[in-house]
Amino acid sequence: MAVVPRVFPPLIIPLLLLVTLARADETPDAVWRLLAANLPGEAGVALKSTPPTEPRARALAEAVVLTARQPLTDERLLEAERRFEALAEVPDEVGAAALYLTGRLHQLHFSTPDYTEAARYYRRLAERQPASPWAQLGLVKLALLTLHVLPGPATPADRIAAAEVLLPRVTVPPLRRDLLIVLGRARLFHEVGMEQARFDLLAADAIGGLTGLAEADVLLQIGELSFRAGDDGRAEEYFRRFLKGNDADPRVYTVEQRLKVIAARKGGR
Amino acid sequence: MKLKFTRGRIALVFLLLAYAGSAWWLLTRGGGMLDDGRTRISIAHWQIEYGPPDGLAAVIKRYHELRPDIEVEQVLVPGRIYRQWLRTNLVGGTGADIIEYGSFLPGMRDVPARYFEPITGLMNEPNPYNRGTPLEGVPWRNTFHDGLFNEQLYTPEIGQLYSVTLCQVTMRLFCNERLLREIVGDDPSFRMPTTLEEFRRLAAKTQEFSQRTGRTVYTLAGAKLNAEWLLEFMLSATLMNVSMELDRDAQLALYLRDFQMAYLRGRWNYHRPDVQAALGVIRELTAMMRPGFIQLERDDAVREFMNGHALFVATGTWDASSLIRLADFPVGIHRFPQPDAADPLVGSFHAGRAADGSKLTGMAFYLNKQSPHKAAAIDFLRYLTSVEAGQLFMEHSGWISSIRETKVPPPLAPAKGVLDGLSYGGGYMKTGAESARVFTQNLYRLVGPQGGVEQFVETIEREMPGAQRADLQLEVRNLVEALRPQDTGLVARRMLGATDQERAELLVTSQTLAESQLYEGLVVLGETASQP
Repeated sequence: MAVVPRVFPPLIIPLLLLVTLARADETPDAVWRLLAANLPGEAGVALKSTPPTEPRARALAEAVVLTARQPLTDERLLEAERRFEALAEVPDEVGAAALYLTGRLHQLHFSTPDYTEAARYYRRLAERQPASPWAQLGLVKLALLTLHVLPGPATPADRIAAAEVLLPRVTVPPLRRDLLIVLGRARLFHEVGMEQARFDLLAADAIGGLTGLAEADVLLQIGELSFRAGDDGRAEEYFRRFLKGNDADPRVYTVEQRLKVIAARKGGR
Repeated sequence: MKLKFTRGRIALVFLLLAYAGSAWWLLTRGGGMLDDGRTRISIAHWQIEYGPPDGLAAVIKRYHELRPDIEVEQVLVPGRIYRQWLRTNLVGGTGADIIEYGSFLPGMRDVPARYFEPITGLMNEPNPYNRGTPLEGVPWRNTFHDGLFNEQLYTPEIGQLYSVTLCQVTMRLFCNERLLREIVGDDPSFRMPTTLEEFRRLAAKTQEFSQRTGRTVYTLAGAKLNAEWLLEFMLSATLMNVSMELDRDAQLALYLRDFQMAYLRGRWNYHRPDVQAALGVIRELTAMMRPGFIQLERDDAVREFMNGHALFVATGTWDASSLIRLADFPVGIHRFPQPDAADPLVGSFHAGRAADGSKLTGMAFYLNKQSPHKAAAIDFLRYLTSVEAGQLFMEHSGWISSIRETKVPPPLAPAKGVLDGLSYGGGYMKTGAESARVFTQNLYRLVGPQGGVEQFVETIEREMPGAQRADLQLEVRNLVEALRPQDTGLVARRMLGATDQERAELLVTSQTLAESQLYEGLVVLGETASQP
């Protein structure tokens, strides 16, 4: 019997310590961390033992878990929508996030998307809390829907015009930049206002903040569109900027060939 | 006092003993600690062919000399069961500490975000194992030949890096140099073909040699997969003019969805004269392979080459070690010949030299989020991708290292990626499973004495619109599935406040740009819904 006290304290103490540490980590932040790591099942478990502080943030987390936890069904998403709508009644940041996410449910998550309904939520949010980051992001999503799939505009040019109207309302610089890129892409896709596409991308580049491939793509697009438009000075500027940070990109050779053509054109003048 | 051994008490004693035993096992053996106090980590991959296991073994051996406190175990998993093995072990929490993964593995798109840990912060720091080398002080990410371009392109979260790479891979022609000497003799003017026309002449010589000697010798070893690699490259190289025309977005590159959408919108098809001329090249190349090659597997092509029945085999440099080690003749590595402006068949459409290999690196390794020894795993990853380990890996595996400042052994030099050609990508043979099926199933109508370009085009143009549509629908579905979980990630990061704002912003941008592609796909599907 004397064996018991010698064996168990080294076992029990670390176990107790582990349990204590685990509980200490069960804060709302820990739940958000699990969700950020794409672990909604684990987040759902952690939520059950989270102290009931910040009830609105907790309710938001519970609804978010519903939208991500497998198996995902429309019934579960309807339940999430009901909870988001309840949270959205209060016009604070949690309410703004909830309203935005309701739009997202209709735009992307339900098995059959309802773009008109999604657009309605984004418009409502932008009217109610125009400065909220969620409202600003909702306007970018609204522009995407308008440019491509929302019923209403008759022609691609009408779609672009309707989306352009949203641009002045997007005041958060990175979101405004993203919207400019989306507008530029849409012009190229619909083949409407190719020159304006270049100006959209230039305006996006002026805002800055892009990194990695997204930046490389925009630099190349401006360079190539300028090259095609005969604006060799600007083409060279952007091609050289691209080369500076992307020496292993497979497109380097093509850019170097473009620069040779520009140099030859210069020499010929 | 006499104890009563009731069934309940006996069960309790067994339960306690089992608990104590398990606890003892976990505390003394679990978590990757060895009896002697060393940390044990494991690295799992599917590259079990000749080469990579030897290369990694050499790296691990040297690492043990540098870090005797860390034991590294190499786990070799056959490719055919890798996905199941990976999924089961990750879900069960028993995955290796360092894991090979590729974004091309079907049905595994959720894996990186769920189970792997981003290492972006570390990638911006110098690799300490590069001290005393020209890469000392260079941020880790910039010590790779391609700056981890592919890893950025296929990252589960834009702006985050999750993996490091080990090698460079290119497609090349491997040549039986002894047979080549027999065929061309002592002709002092002979040089290895670089143009398609020169290759045609060598193929004619090979055929003449075969007839003269009575030996069965084909110019190209034939198998379905090897043929597809060669034909796909040759179509892309020959149709560079079409790719440039299709580059509506001015990105100097086309993704598969761009080919799909352009096809469905009628911007290219197999009736175009340039496409038909390119298909003529395919007819020529397949005539250099043995009949019935479509039915044959990769191993058959390698055997044909090894037995001296084929002058060349077209394959990736991942086969270099096996071919060089197993062949009883010298094996040369050569770049694919390409059509030029003077080519009699496709020269009039020539738009420039095509890239036949890039500096892009592969064989990507990820850090398991659940690893109990992340620090040790990161330390090993750093060593594995240092100049010293890159050199060791290359010398023992025969695979070209992904690390700058490593010296490529002369026999492997032609396999090294070179950026000296246009690189727009290719989607003329397949843009997904359905278009690949249609092209491959009808290939017999194009090749061989009974085949022809016209009958191939006639059939394929009946079936391809539906196939391209199916492939685009799948692309759109995959995009939706990839975008949905990002909403959860975004709201979580925003709720976490300042610490995660940068990642939240990157996620917003990447999601918006990806959604732009999603809706473009939907528009094209809507526009072309009435097509057969």
